[in-house]
Amino acid sequence: MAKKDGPKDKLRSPRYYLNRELSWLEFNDRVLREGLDRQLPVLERLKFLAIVSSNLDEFFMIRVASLMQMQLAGVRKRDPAGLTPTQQLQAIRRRVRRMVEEHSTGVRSALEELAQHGIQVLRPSDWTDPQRQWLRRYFQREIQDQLSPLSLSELNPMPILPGLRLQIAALVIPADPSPRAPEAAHLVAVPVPAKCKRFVQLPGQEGLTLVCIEDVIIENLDLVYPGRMIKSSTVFRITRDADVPIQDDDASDLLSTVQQAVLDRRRRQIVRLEVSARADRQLLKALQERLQIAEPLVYRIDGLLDATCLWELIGREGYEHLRVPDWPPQTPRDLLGQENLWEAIQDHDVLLFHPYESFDPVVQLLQEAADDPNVLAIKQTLYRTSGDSPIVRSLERAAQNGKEVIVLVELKARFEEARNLQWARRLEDAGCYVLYGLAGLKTHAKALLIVRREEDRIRRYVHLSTGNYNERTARLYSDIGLLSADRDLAADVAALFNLLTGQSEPVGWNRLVIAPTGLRRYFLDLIQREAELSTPEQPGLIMAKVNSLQDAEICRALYRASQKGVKILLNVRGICVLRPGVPNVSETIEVVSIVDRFLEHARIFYFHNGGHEEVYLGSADWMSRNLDRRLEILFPIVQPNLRRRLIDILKTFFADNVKAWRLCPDGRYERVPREGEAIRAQEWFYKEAVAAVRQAQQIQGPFRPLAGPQPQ
Amino acid sequence: MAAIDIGAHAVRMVVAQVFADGRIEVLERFHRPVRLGQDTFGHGRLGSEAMRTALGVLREFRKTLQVYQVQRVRAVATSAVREAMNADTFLDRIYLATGLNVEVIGPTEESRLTVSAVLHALGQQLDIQRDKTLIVEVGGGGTLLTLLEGGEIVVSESLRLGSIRIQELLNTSEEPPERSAELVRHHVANTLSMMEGTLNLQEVKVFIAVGGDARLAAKWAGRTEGANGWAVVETADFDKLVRRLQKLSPEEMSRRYGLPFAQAEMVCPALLIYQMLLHATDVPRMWVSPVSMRDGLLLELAREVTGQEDETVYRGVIHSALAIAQKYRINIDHAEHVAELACRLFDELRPDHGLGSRHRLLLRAAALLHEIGIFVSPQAYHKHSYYLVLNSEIFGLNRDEIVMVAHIARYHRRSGPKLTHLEYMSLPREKRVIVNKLAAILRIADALAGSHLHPVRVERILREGDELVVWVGPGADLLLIQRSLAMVGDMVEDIYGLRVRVEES
Repeated sequence: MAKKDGPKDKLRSPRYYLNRELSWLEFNDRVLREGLDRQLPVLERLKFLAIVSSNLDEFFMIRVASLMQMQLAGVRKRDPAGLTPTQQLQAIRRRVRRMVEEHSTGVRSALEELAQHGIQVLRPSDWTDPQRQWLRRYFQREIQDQLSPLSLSELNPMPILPGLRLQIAALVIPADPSPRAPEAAHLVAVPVPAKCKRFVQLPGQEGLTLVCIEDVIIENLDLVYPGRMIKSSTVFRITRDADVPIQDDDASDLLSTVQQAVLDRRRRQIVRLEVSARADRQLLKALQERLQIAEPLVYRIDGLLDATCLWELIGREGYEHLRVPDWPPQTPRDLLGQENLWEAIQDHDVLLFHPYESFDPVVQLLQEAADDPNVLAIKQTLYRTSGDSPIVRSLERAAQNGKEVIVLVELKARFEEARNLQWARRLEDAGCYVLYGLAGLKTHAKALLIVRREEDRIRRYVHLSTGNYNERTARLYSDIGLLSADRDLAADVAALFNLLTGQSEPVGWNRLVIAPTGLRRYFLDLIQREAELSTPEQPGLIMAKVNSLQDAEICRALYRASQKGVKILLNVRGICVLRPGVPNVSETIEVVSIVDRFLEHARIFYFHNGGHEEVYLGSADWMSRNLDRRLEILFPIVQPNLRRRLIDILKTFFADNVKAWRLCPDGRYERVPREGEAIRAQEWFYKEAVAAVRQAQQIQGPFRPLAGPQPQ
Repeated sequence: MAAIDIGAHAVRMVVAQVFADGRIEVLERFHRPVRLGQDTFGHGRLGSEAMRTALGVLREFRKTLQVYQVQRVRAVATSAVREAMNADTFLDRIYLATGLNVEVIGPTEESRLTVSAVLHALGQQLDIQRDKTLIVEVGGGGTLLTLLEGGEIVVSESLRLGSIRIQELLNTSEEPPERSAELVRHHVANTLSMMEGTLNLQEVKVFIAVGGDARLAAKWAGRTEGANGWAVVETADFDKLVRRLQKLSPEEMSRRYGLPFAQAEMVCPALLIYQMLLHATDVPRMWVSPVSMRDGLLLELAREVTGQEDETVYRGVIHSALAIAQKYRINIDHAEHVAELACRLFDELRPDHGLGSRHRLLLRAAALLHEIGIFVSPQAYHKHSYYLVLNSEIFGLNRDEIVMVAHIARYHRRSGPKLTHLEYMSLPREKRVIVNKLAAILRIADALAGSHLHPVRVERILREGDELVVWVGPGADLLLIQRSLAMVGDMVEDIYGLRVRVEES
């Protein structure tokens, strides 16, 4: 067992840790770098710029909000890096301001480039008179009726301003103020209707000419306030605290708790105000006063507010020359030449490396299972999925066909609660047994079990994955899944569902390791074992790929292993609080991060184990919340060829010198220097997947016509 | 197929499938804590709350059985139900709610099932043929000890010493917690001293622990051994573990090891019992078995499905029957001769009786034991044989089977079964038919075997038309054989419609 670390442990010193919030901001900055990378086609850049925006939104709603709550409650507790909440907030805001500035510049220059390619976004100053007239008619016809102007004057009770939505603020005065009673300027707010698209397309132009809806509203605000004069106006956006701790001690009532939480979110504390950099001082001051927003919360944006609207441009049909070439998912290598999915899985474990390899087999398996009279039961966890997905439809149909269908729906998946509720109800109506998770534990494990009667035996098929059951994100996220009919693994997955449904206490696992009961200990033991086996002649090796490394106890274990000479290669996409390269502490630890077109999402763990190499896949990151407060699984890959392949995959990530960043001891990230041949991991994986398919076609092509000499 | 076990602190189920070659694959295991034992061991009755919980669990199990379309289920209950005054009511409620017929089994049966599972699961790691082996299972209500010599069961003991009983003992005592371990030790030592004489623990070379608590100990302080789930805990490591766990409250233990509270509470008392026994034997390490009594139940179910006999169990039954035969000082040579003939007859008559290998085993056991009644008195000794067998334990046979063996032995001579024979008539009809068929075979075998002094060599047995022709070796007293046959042959003719003819070859 791992050595107990006492409070005086030297490795707890703040100087060995980075702050998680600042580390996350560095991640977002790496995404931003992609958005600024002129070598990328412009629509691809817009994608990254949009992601930076939505990332920041979530960051403010959750992380900044919770720090502000702590600050408000007077909590002075320092994080592992030694910062109080107040210090963290100060540092965060400083960093964000710099980022927002670069981001705005990036958006502006991307839009300029787009204009050269025939997609123009016109600001009001560029509007021609005919355009202005057309937009005024358009405003009257399409927009005006949908507006709900709000008065923010002190005389009225304060209305609830929606969070995250663009709004117009204006100071209005009577058109001809009577000199006897000069009426003070009146503050109003007009939320941009939620149903409206951000960009309005102007007719009859060559190419695509667009204007922003907020500009259309501002320019026609006089129609909303007849008889008044608009003294000044601006667009603004507020962000509210959305970090609702869902009280779910009693899971039976979780459904209504979640509904309530979604409602409550509307009136929570404001954590950020974004406003156009051109906003008039007096107007801004009035708005700040009325909304009680202190100066540090205000971000002035020179350009587009809420760049998530860029998705509207990215999503436009056509313009292929402005995008990166499509990398369509390939038939998974392990399924090449296999006609029958079930037989293939019986024959061997199947590794699915998304999105280079297709997610379709999983969908297909479920679709076939739903209609297969021999399938007795289907059990699945659903964390983030879409309601109209073929997966949910298959489960529905399976239940209607009389199979036992157990679905564990995690309602607590952030920001998707409302959507989750809908289809969870639908599954229930179809006759599925729908569970809403365990009290106090978010179910993050991704598992599928299909029980099938075959001739005279029962066979069970499992799918375990690092990614969610969402066929859409499976094309954008890089994840790894395993299809298997292995008896031990299947028994474990069956036991997992029995645990989740309360049908049984844990009965001992063959292969799976489960959080929150055993996973932390297991990781610590694996790391320590590596340290113990490490000798100067044969140093140990740990390779891990996670989204985040935030848990201090894991960090300490890694430091101790490093002190024993273990080589530690970490591929951490996002937050990493571990400080690499510190003499006598983390000298042998290297941390890299890859930000490329697909979101790195797989969790892979490798331990050299004195030559008896072990490779695991899992749903958990090295974060405290994953290890202690979520239901997570870790599973070993036992089939030697698959283990080999995963080791190769890991090594490829560490070989990347195109899209890889290295974490420096001071917490900054720098691009991995390119020595020799350029290696871009994601491209490499895609080409490998394509090559595998091509090779299989060549081997297998008995019916392809031979290109030979024409017969006489 | 599925096995359900209603124990002292849990209701458990194993769902498995069996293949044609007898291989068993466990599909799912269920473990639901239900504290049935607490009320029974405290007040002699099952509590209504616990009964309700158990019923709920069994209803859910029933559903799982339906999903898997399970055909064969064997449900058993052990000490908590066995010792409860209101057991029948409980069993009836279960039957009405779930249709499950729960069988209450005794400690010997428990032992037998456990041992058969352990022997079956045993890989190459252990040489139990050579070494005296002790198998220990600490349950909620009792501890089962089984001693094996040369791979055969020689002694089986059940101690009224279980984790719940110990827990109860601690709860009722006013001792401070640090003294409680001492109290348990004392109690265990006392109980152990009572069985000195029957079981010499000093000679034990291999110590096998069975049960969930032992498996936890293996997980925390042991290492796996081989691929089939066995584990080993060194005695020194085990001692260290127990010392460490004793310092923890059940709450702390439950938190630290991620155990359900109900289980955390029981681990320590259980491990203390293992520890005391381990030290009583002087072995350096404890082997922890991956299987339990439920796996024994599965093995039996699998046998029913495939009709295949497990070799070790088969040998166990014969060994045990011979041990009993020796105890009553009968002529073993004769007994074995009769048994051998009976089996040959059984095989020859297979198309006529349509019975399976399990029945052959019963016949063989009855043949080995048919004369033990002589020990009491040669007068009507078959009747003495009957009750002696009935009151013996034959390892490898369950109670129902022992009753059948007793009847077969009883009807090997003199009168066949009659309507006035109450014990016989109390058997279910299908069992009476089997007793008849097997007793008839035993009768001929006994008649053909000749006397103790002049055994007859039977060369060949052949079924020809409606005759069963037996070719005996030269020098046999044909007249004598024919006379014996005349005394018993009518039963064969009644049942099989065959006349027995003896020829000299």
